[in-house]
Formats: sequence, structure tokens, C-alpha cells
Amino acid sequence: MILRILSACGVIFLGSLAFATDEGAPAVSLDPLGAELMDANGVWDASSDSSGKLWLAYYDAGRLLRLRGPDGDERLLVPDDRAQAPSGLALTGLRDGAAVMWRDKHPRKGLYFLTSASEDAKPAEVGDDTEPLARFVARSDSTGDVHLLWYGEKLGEPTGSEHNLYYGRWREADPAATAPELVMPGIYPVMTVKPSGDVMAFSWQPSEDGGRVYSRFRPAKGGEASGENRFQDAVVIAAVPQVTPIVRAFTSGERWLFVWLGQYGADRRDFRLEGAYSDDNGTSWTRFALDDLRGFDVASLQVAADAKQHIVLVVTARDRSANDDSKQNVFALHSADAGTTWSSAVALRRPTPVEQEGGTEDQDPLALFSARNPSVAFGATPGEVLAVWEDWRGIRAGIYAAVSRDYGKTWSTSVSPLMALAGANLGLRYEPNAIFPSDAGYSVVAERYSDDTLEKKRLVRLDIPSSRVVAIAEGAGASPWPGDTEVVKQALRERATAYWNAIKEGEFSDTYEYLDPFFRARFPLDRYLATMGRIKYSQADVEGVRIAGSIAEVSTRIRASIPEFRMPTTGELVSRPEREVTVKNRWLWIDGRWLKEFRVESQDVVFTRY
Amino acid sequence: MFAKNTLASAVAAAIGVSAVGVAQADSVFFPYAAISQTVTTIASVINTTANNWDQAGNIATTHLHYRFYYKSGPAVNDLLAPCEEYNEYLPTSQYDIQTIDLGGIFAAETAGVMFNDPSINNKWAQTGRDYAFGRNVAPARGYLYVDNSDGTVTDTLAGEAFMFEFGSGAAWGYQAYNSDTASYIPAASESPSNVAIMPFDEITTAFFVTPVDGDQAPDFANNYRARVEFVTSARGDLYDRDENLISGTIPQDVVCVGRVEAADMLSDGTRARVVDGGWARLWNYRVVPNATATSWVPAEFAADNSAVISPSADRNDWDDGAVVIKLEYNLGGTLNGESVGGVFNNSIMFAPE
Repeated sequence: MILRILSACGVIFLGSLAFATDEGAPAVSLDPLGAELMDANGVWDASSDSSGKLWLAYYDAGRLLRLRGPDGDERLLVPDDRAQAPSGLALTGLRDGAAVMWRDKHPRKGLYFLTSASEDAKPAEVGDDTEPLARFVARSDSTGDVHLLWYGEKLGEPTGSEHNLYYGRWREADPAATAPELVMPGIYPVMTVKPSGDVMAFSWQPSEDGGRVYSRFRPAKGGEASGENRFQDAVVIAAVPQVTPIVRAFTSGERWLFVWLGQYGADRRDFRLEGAYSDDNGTSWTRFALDDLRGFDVASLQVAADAKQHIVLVVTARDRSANDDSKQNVFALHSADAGTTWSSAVALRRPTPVEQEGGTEDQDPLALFSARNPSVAFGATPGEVLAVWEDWRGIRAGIYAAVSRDYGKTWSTSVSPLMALAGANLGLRYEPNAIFPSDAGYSVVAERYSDDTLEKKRLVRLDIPSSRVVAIAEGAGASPWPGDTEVVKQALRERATAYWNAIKEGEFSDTYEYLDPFFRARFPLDRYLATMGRIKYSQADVEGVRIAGSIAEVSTRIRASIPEFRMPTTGELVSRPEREVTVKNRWLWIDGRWLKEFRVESQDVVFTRY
Repeated sequence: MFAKNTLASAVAAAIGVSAVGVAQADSVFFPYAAISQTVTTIASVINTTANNWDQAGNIATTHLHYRFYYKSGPAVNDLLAPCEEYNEYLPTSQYDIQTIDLGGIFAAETAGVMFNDPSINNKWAQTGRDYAFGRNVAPARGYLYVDNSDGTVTDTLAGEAFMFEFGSGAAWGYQAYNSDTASYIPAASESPSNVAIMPFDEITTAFFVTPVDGDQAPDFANNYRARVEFVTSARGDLYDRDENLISGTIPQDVVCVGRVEAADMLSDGTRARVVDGGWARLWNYRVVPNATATSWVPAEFAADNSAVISPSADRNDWDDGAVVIKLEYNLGGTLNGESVGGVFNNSIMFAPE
């Protein structure tokens, strides 16, 4: 059942929605998650507890931090009479419930920690005098303890650095946090924790002769009284001149792994996705490089690893070795031996048949559209892996999926979005990993933009039944593209002709409706009308149409003049005699029709995001 | 247009009146100009001396020497494309001001000369020549260099410019630099300069970069190369608005003149994590090929001869290498998420050290 209320903020959904994207495909359902609107870049985190129940924490549009339990109840974690103070967020599932961590100024500046079991909802300050900044992680172990690593700027530390990493542990039994331990210099708190409570922390540090990646191991054995569970000496993993924020640690069985995006060369465009593993608790490390993506700038990285040495990495990446022009794409790499060897990088999007969609031998039309922020998870069926990502091939953002039945070795990719919601934009954030497996299939925490300004969003949950996963694996689905047929081209010619006829007649209220919705969302009709009418068109003939995916280039021969007018800003009289020129405009296939992309010629600005 | 350009350059070179040959000349340097169908650059040149040139480049009283270095067409957005040179001697007179639309959008019927300038003392109309140097090469970006023959210690040339986007009415401007020589190394923006970076989704931030040299008016073309990059600590980084350091910056090299998007100076992972912007130390310095000509490395100017430039072991804060102008403009009629009912266009020229 679909029940919608149109509001000033956009479309609010009440109750569950279930959509089939194409005839016969099993339905994916959509449910609202967060009760409140968020800024488009608002931070959130999600985690499952040991019983598989999903917990969610997020900042609403007023920057108030909220915790949502599996039953849908939400509570504010900060007083509701203030804003702009809390920042940063980490959430981790516990044996029963979840723990949240954030930085705040109230009641005093510090790092705050709260478990969902806390009855008085009074958070504990765990950062002490470390001057914590808004970057931290929390990881729970099988004992129920939560390990905390954060970035602080306390001066005068013996490391000689202004920027250091600190560790603390929340003991479920007390419950209380241990005193902060200075770990090492760094700005990215990267840590992984084994169920036993063993901890490995990582950091990149600059040095006179180039940077280095370090690890420090902290065993769980012994306990505080024995003095054994202290961080051991730092170990150099590798020499790396620079790293980006793409740094990720995880385990595969008993093996520790750390992956980073390094920057090499004077121009720092020699991007190298590389890593190292250790089987002796960080005493020694073996380095590896994922050279298929050398020169590719990575914007996001998520990991799925099981206990049987299977690892799948999914990344957002684009080649920036020579320039900054290419669009982002999504890739997967896998290992069947816990990272000792790695596969080639596989583009998760299915290449498009050239003859069907207007591509050329040199360029797949998919390369014209961004894809980003993939998430990945192993399923309940051995060997099954599901990857989902945000894809702009339909000009709007949609969620697409790919399935592997052999632990990531080969993939089947959907050519249609998981949900086809007319007029909606569904996206994913670069973190956290947003896909959660269950016995019934998978759940994905996605972001639904409130409108085409793409300024606000609301979190939603997509439930993907196992039957739909089977359909993806079998290649079901239909492309959102119109095709490159003569019928489609003729329809576009007619639509472009109608647009130009309205332009000639000065019917600008009509021409406004031909423009892309992202422009119209930001530029109301009255402002558009105020900018139109200076140029008088006497003739417009659509001459050529070229389609690639959901983009078309339309060539139109026009005759136009500028009658004399006075510039409002300078008083200058301006006019131009009639002349004939050919203009090329881009038209877009959106929501089942062709719309003209609005471009601010002087600034080369468009309002679309693909 | 191009034939006249080449001929004028060749004549100037043959008779030895390039900037290098006329060390005593005063000059004025407009470090950035842009021209397109909807953007133009209005430049005002103020000349207070009678020590000028004639139309052939000989010392006289009647002409100024204009050189417009530009890249046009597909090269406009090619940061590493060299410039071409438009080289012309055009009328002047002492105490004259001439305001020119370099694009010829305005004052199209008066050779680009604006605001009812009578062709009496400065006989610009009688020459039949065009002051709109970019009229036929739009879209283009470049810089303008003007000199006279004045050998006194007095500054005799000055200038101002403003960019005008006449579709929206947005405009920005700057004061041109002047010098007693052709060297504009002292005009380079301080490196590093702390720069504010606005939220990327709402405001576009770009840097116009013009490398400087001991000879800012080379013959025929300009292929001087400079680098801009964010390096705020040893981590190659910047700060977000919550005082978090974040690494992953990317240097950008520019030949002659170029427009560098701030977003392109960040790795994609960095860009995604600093959506609200922040601040960074912006470095600018000349680069030259290394000893094996396999990469471009930081350069330093010789202390005793600014025309000599050589590889350096690292970037130095005393070898500033480019004029850098920051431009900020909105995309969708909002600022801080609140409607502003139109567009804005702000510029800041980072001052020399």
C-alpha cells in the first residue's frame, strides 16, 4: 500500500512501500528509518547487535544527534534546546543493544559515550584531557567491552606531535571507561578488534625522508592487573610518502589486514591502492599492491570478510593519472586466501552493448554517468555476495546491485535500479558499509533526497528479498535508457522542435517545463522569466540528434538577434543584428521523457549531478 | 588577427624592443583576463609620462606597447597549454586613461575603447586599430602586459581591471601591478597563503593562476610553468571546519595562465569528507624539469639575476612563483542554505609577501 503526504519539505512516506522495477521481478520494499530530515551531507552510522537487530544514529537537519532502536523508537542524545555543538559519530552493535560515541561541548568539551542500555541516558566523558577531535571509532568484542580510538590535539605529548591517537576501553562489567592511552601520532583513528579483544591500531606518519605506515598491537590477555595488555612497540609496515583518508583495517580469520590509498610522485597522481597483512600480531607485515587500480583515485572503500579467508573489497574509483575529467565508477576485488593473492579489479557495472545504446567503440555510455559509494556483504548462502551502489545513469540517483555466487570471483549485475521511484533520488553515503544480511535477504540503509535541490535527505531501509537477489543473478531487469532507435530520435526531434517553437513565441512559462528538474528546483519560474526575452529568435530547425545512454546532443540551427536594450548595471546600450548559428544542447531522459539540461554558459555550470 | 599578431611580434623582436631589451621601461601587468560570449574584461590603462614609443617601437611619445598573452578555444581549459601573444603598439598621450573592453563585447563600434574617449590627444581612432585584443579569439583567458619607454624611477603606468559577466551582472576586479622592469617576480602571491575554502556543494571556488618571471613579456609565447597546492602540515593536508586535519591533496601545474578548481586539488576521498570546506595553506611556486627531464620539480630564482631559474630540492616559502586570484561564486541562489535571490561572484587577489 502506498500512502503519501505531500509537504513543504517534499514527500513523506508513511508505512512500507513495495515496488517491482520491471514486470515479474520480485519486490524490494522501502521503509522510513529516521524520523527527522537531515542535511544532504548529514552524518549517520548503523550497526547490528548480536541478534541482528539494526541500530541507527544520525544528525538531523538541526544537527541534533538521535539514536533509533530496532523498534523504531528514537531519542535525542543531546538536549533539544541547542544545536551546532555535537560533531562526529561512531556506533557499534553490542551483545544486546548498541553504543554511541560523539564529541560535544556540553556539559564540557569532551568525547562522550553512551550505551542503549543506559537507563538515565547520561553519557560518560571518555576523552579526558586529550583534546579530542571529531574523528573516532568504536569496536566491540565478544566480551561486551567496547574499544575506542580517537584523534586528539593535546599539546606537549612525548611524541612531539600536535596530532595523536588515543585509546580507551569501555568495560561492560563496571561499566566505565579506562583512562586514555597515548597510542602514536596520527590523524586517522584506524583500528580493528578481534572477538577476543586483541586490538591492532594503525597510523600513517610523515617523516623527513617520506612517510611511513605503522601498527601497534594490544593483546587482550592478562587484564589490567597483569600489565600485559598494553600496546606493544610500534612496527613500521611500509614506507608510503602520502596517504588519502582511504585507510581501512579488518581481519580475515586470524590474519590482520590494513589497506590504504597511497599517493606517489611529485604530482601525487600516482595513486596506489595497497595494503599489508600480518599473521604474527603485527611483528612482521607482508605488503601487497592492487595494481589494477594504479592511478585511480579512490573515494570510498568497503570490505566484506568471512571466517574462511574470503575477502571482497568494493571501491569508488576513477582514473586521475593524467587529468581530472573522468567520472567515478565502482569496482570489486576479491581474495580467496585471506589477502595473500588478489583478483583483478572488476567493474561492477555491466558494459553496455554499443549498438543498442549509442556508445562508440571508444566509449561505453556508462562512462558518462557517475557510480559511487558501494557497500558489500556476504549473504546467508555460502558464496553469495551482494554489492549495491549509487548510480546516476538515469540522471537521477538510483541504487543498483550486483551479485556474486562464488565469493566475488564473478558478478551478475542488474541493469535496472532496485527501486524505480518516479521523481525520486535514492543514494548511498561513502560510509558506513550500508548493507546488512539476514535470513530473508539483505537490508540496505539508503538516503532518499527530499527534492531535486538535493539539499535534504531522509534515511530509508530497502529490504531486498532473496528472490530478488536470484533475479539479479539471472540478469533480470530493464535498462532505464530509452535506446538509440529512430523512433526515439524522432520523438526527441519533435520535443526539441516544440521547445524551440515556444522560445520563438516567447512562451517562457512553457519552455520552463522543458528544463531539467534539478535546475527548476533551484531556480523558480519567476526568476527564470526575469532572465528570458533579451534574445529574439526568428527561426529554429533541429538538425541532428545523437543519443548515448540517457543523454542526447541536439544540434539546432537558429536565427536570432538582440534588440537594443540598456544594461541595468552599467547603462550600456546593447544590441546585436540577426545572425544564424548552430547551437548544441544536451537533452536528458528523465522520468520517461526528454528534458533540456540547463547550463549557465558563462560559468559552465549545470544543476544535474550525474 | 593571427597574421597581424605574428607580424607585430616579429617586428618587435627584429627591432629589439621586447621587454628584455628595454630594461628601463615602465610596465603594468594585468595578471588575469577572461573573454567569452558572456564574459569580458574591462581594462583601464593610466599613463602619466610622455616617454613612450612610436608605432614601430622606437622611443617616442605617442604609443604604448600592448602585449596580450592568451590561450583560446579548446586550450582555454588546458592548464598546460602555452599562451600565444598578441603584440601591438597603440596610441597614448601623457596623462591619458584608456578603458578597453578586451573582448570587444562593449564598445564594439569604437575598437573596444569605452566611455566616449575623444580621439584628440590620444589619437586612438585615427589609427584604425583594434584595442579589443580578444575579440576574435573568444573564449580565451590570458594576461595583459603594457609598457612605455620611461626610464625614470617614477611609476608612470598603472591599471585596473574588472571581469564582467553580463548575463548575470556579476563582476569582480583588481588593481594591476606595475614595475620599472619586466620582472614581476615580486608580484607573486605570498606562498604559502592561508586560504578559506567555502562549502563545495554550494559555492564553487577556483584559483586563477598566472606564473611570474624575470621577463613577464617573453617573445611570441609564454610557457612559464608554476604549481599550486595545499600543504598545511607535513601531511599534505588541510583543515575542515571542525579543526580536523585531512590529507590527500593534489598539486596542479599551470602554464602561462589557468583556472584551477579547488575541488581538483583534493583527492576524491578528501573532497567527500570536507563538503563544508575549511582552510588550507596554498603554496605557489615555479617548477622546472628535473635533471633527467622526467618530472617537474620546484624551482628557485637566482638572487643576482631573476631571469635565471633552476631546480630546487624542495618548495621554498621565499620563491613565490605565481599571481593567484581566488574566485568564489554560488551555483543555485543560496548562501548557507538560505536564498540570496541571485548569483554572487567574489574575488580575492592574494597579495605578495
